[in-house]
Amino acid sequence: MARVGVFICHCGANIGGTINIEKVLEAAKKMPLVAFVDANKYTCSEPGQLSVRDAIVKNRLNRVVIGNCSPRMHENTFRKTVAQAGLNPYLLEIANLREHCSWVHGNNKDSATDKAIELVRMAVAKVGRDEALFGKRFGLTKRALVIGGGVAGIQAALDIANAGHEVVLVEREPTIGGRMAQLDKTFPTLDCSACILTPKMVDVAQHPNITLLSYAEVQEVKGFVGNFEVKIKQKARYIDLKKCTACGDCTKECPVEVLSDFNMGLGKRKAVYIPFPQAVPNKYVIDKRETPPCKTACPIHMDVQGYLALIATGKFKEAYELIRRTNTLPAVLGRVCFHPCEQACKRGYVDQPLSICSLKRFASDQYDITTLPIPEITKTGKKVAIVGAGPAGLTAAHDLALAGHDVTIFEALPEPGGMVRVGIPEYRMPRPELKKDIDYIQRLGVEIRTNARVGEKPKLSELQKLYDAVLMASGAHNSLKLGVPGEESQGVFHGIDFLRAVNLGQKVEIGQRVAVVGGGNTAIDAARVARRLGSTVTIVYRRGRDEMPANDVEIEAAEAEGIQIMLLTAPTKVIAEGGKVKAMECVKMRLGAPDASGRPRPETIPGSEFRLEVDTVIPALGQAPNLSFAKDPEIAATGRGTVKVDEASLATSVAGIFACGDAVTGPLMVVDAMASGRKAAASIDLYLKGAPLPTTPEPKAEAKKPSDEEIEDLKEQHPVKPRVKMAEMPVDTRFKSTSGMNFPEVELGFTPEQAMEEAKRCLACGVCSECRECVKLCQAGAINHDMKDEILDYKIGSIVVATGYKTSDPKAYGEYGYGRLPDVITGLQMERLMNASGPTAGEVLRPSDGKHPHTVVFISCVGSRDELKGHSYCSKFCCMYMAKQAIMLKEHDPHVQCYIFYIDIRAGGKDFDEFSRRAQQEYGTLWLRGRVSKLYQDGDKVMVCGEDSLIGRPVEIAADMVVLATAAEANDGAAELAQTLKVSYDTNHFFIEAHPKLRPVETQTDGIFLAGSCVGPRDIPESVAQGSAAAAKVVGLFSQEFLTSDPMVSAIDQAKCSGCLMCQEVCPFSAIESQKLRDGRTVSVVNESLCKGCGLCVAACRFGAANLRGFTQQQLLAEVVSLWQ
Amino acid sequence: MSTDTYAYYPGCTLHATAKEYDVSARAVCKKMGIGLEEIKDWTCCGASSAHTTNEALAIALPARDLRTAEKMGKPLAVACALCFNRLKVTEHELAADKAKMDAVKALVGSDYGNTTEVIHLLQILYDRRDTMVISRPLKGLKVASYYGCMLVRPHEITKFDDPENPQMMDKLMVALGAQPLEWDFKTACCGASLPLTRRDILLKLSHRILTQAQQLGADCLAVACPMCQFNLDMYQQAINQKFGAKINLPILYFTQLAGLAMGLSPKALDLDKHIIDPLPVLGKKGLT
Amino acid sequence: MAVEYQPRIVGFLCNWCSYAGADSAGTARMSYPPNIRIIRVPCSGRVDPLLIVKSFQMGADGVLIAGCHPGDCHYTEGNYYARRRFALLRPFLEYLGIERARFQVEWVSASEGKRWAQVVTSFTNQVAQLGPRKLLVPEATR
Repeated sequence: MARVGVFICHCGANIGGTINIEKVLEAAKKMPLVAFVDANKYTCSEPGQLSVRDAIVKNRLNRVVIGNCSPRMHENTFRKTVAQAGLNPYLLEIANLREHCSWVHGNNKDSATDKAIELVRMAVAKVGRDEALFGKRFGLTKRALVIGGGVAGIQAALDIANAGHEVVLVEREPTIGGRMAQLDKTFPTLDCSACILTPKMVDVAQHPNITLLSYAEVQEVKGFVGNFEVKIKQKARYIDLKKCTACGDCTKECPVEVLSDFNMGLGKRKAVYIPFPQAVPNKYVIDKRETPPCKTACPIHMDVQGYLALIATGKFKEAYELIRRTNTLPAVLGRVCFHPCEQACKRGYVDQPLSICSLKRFASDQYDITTLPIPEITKTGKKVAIVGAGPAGLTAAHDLALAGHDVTIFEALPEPGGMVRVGIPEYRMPRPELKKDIDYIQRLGVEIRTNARVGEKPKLSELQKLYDAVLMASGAHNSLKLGVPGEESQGVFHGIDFLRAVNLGQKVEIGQRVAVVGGGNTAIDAARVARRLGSTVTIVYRRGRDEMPANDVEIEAAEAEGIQIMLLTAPTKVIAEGGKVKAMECVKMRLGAPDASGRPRPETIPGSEFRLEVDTVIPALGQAPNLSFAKDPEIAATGRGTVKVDEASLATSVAGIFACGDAVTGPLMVVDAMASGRKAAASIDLYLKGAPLPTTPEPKAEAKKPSDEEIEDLKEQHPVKPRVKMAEMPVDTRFKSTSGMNFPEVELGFTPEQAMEEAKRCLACGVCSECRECVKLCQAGAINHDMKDEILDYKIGSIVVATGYKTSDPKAYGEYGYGRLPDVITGLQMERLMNASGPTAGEVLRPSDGKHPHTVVFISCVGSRDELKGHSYCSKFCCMYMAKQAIMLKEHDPHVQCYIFYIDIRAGGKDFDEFSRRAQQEYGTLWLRGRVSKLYQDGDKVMVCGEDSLIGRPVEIAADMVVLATAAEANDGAAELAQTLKVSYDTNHFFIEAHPKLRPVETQTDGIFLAGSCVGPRDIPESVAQGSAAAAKVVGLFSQEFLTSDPMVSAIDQAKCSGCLMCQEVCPFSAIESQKLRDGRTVSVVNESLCKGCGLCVAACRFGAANLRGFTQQQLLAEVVSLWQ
Repeated sequence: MSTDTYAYYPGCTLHATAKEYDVSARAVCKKMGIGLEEIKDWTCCGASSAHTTNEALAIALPARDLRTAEKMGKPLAVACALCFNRLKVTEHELAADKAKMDAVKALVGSDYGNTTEVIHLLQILYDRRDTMVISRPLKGLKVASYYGCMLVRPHEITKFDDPENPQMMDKLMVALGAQPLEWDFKTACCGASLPLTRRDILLKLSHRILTQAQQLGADCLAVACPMCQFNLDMYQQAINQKFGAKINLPILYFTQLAGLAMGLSPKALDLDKHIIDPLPVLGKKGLT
Repeated sequence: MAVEYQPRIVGFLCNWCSYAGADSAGTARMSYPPNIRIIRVPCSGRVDPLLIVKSFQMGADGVLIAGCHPGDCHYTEGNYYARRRFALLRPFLEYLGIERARFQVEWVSASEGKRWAQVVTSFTNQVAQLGPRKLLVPEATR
């Protein structure tokens, strides 16, 4: 039989002042099971607890209800109390009479009292159903995790380590030290921040008990106090910490410069860098962001950003060598590539994309390829035959030759180069340039046999016998037919055949008036060639201008050369007289619904037929492969008439025979063919080594479009700077043939100056450009550009969070013109300016003109104490550091006069007020009470318009420099981390301590502690104190051999369990296992060490089998019901 | 944005000293196919005087015009920044305070519901800037966009652009082909109604504004407020005398510049009605 | 009438966010109507629909559930289950003849004492507006 004792606490006047305790006691007496009631002034006090204990013993009470403050405050206190009286600590319930009643209903004593009575009744009803609970003992891992390597984290780590426990210190940045490392001097003692911090940093690095993980982030935290399982992401540093000697050679040739984040955007740093000289670990890091879109979009993934960066710095030779790394035909791709890279280029969203293609051409124009060395090649003795010397075949040959195989290319035409040679007119692709690239491939030992048409001589089967592997790279050289009557008449030349003839220097008799049919690049090429042969040319295309597949530059060039384009027109028949073309009958078209290709389907307009007087018709409708040679052995083909291959390995239906390029894909871009050739070469190499071929094709990487916000930012950071225009040959001179039917190249290429200027437009999307210059310079061989992020697993017993703060962005204060007025900076930037390791080596120079400032104005509370534009809270240390900076500026230069606009001077702290007064009295700093309404540039001065509210007058100061004391904000990702750790955080994303006064470094989650500014703005002494405090908590925890689990966990009544395992599905901690009983039933069982007592299973259980101890269904129902008793 | 006819409230100045604002506004809207129906029998908004003397009057006067517009069932287009400000304040105060609302109903008519949408002409043009037909882009014309106080302040009431660094007029200027200046006095006070009482202050404030515009090489200022236009245009000589400055900056309404860009003749935009004659500058840029 | 009449409201608050939020409302001495009776549960996901229906059956005029903001659940996903479960419960309550406005689910974090006070005030008024609820079952059988 339960005997409940009810104890009501007056809590001084906190409860008693509002609630009529007598009435509550009266009512309580009458409640069922209540055997004893009493009240105390302060139940939590020693006498208070004693009286409870006595009452329990005297009155043989076996249940206790205490009506006092929130259970979150004193539940544990009183659990101990009742335990001392010999009761099980869980036979206690708290009625929250203070936070939930007296304090919120002070204005309404009667109903507060009524409410109090009901709160007590609910507690009594619940306690009546309390059961004795017993926690389980479990072990713990005595290894601490400290998140954040600022001064608070450093202190915590050192104290825990010194107590003899292992510590894992995780820092997101490449170095520890946090904000304090950025500061110059510290108030109020004015000792040098670095001088007092760096020794501690070194201690961390050298401490045997500390594992320092810099440039790393906590990714996942599972488990519970004593037994956390933590996943930490070690970001790729691209530098081997063991090998790096911090000599700094790597930075020498790095072409990429970005704003230094350590110096708060003042001054620059290289892509490979060390944040500051005393960094710990004292190792360099390569700042590599996303893969640049240009590289992703490029089918052969060239290091575009890399060679642009090198060109920008005048390293043309290095640029070419880097291009060579991935590109076997630079001279070709520098001219005829359709450059998907440029479509992807982010600069295109700001103004225009980089002229990547032309810059590549520039690099190759600068380089004498005959001097390009031949690398060491170790022969394998294997022989490979390649059918076709087009870009695909040549690329494959190049790679295979480098792999040590003997390669022979069989080319049907008299000249190597494939479509590049015979499809593309000379004015776009000069022969000598093509020859250069091919010559080099031959120098690699590749033999090219021209006029060797495989299928006739030699037969494919012979190649199969004589060679270890065969690669079909025969391209797509068959013209598609027009399919209209009269197509066979004399004077009809098919596009590709026409170009081939011209490009091979054969005489082609075309007439005066030429019609080219089609809208692709072949059509344009054919048209421009015909134009050069002296004809008047009309392009006839059935869709609209926007639908033309040819690139715009080409179309524009054609028009510039006087070629007429007749859109929405299709030929219906070729009219011939005596077998000779006389005219072409055409019909007008209109655009209908989109077809399979997504382009609008052209429909004929009936009765719109008309006659186009021409004597030559050049249909250029596209090409198809010619596989007639692939009959013996029979190579399987697709329905589209291309070679059928395995996607991943490019192997054909016949073992040992591979295929690539247009023959497989149908007509595509040169660079696609090269990518395909490279892929084939890789498979063949594997095949020859007897290694298994790839079975899954590598996923196609898509360069993604930046978000609108990103585009906005880009536009903000990068003023419009259109691309540099390349010189072109004047139209009239274009048509004078150089020799026979060859015509001079139209695009004349960049001058070195132009190239460098154009290359400088690159936005360096990836920051590190992967030009690999650093690799050449690093003698320790510490650089590895292929390093990957790693996930490290740790078993952790306790966690200290010390993620610190960042300063707010003053852009919200448009009137202060930050970012617009060069000499308006933030406090942290001023620290860097004053710091010897800062961008100006400690000499305070203003950003605009590098002059010494003499009048400096400070503006406080920029983002703090301002609910309208910033935060409601005070950032706490600004007043002091403004005073400090004012003093230091005067120390640096006695001519300096400082003004500080403040709202209140917050100088609470040991020697703080004295310090701020020193700034006024000894250093003549003027403190003006009031806000600044506007800053504006007046000549070389920044005019400060503000108010001195003490004299009630507007004041204007002509300043050389203005310092904004920006607010301290929770660091980026604080909220996400809080969610990972399951600790609560406030609306400003600061972590919430378990109790603001009594448990300042604890969280509501056992084993997780807080230190420093992640809880709210803290100065250095406080942060250090909290670091030590948190460490003490951890050490205290680790001093125990066992921990006791919270017994308020779920239990499952197997008699009721139906085995539906719903509970298993909802349990976030996979604490529920299924178990087979002897009678064959499957039931759920709770693993108590994993259960966290959330009770999800209870709500999910349809049979009332699951129940949560301490919050049972019966108890909660009783609480509800009691309200109506 | 969607509607293309508005109830139009010119306000007193546009029928007097700021006639060119009215003329150019109507011309531009006509050109753009935006209908402006001047509301019948409108009264003064109370301007800068009513709210300093009689609160009820300061609210009732605009409320009366708001009611007329409400009856027309069209959003109310306003050209004068001060009128705009007063109308917005009225709208705001009546929404916030039921007692006031009742009092005003008693004065202007019980059927008034305070539902009129008040929108400034600059907003209307800004929203349509991409659809404008620009036949005479203001190439090479450096414009300092000057918004004054009335449009943007108090922000929680007028809710117009960014109170510290507004952009609408600047972006409109870009759309017109002109080159807006990044400067500091977009929303600084010109001296408002002080010329009559404290001329010295007016001259000081306006001088600051004009000086920076001049330093940054502005060809002219674009304004949206008759009072600003008046002060900056009218007192330039006085300023030059007092501060020994050599400022000669035309002060043009954004509507005039818009009209110019849309190919309207200077005459049709009353560009000859300014004290500082804009025609020479515009002429140099080949815009006349 | 609505002013005089005092509705009876049962609140189920999760221990980690909303109960703490209610505490901070107290610590900050914010006042709100005294009609609510708070029952502390570990997580909003612990709240079995039965408890809500029971409350209404007993004669509650309103039931208020409060938990951590989505994403902030101390148990990672408890409040997500709660959210779905109560979305399903609502039509059932309406079917029983309990007006929508009598049942509310709110997210209140540990730092949002002010918000808690606002939530309780507006919910109490909202329920008071509706007036007393006709009981689900005759007095006798309760």
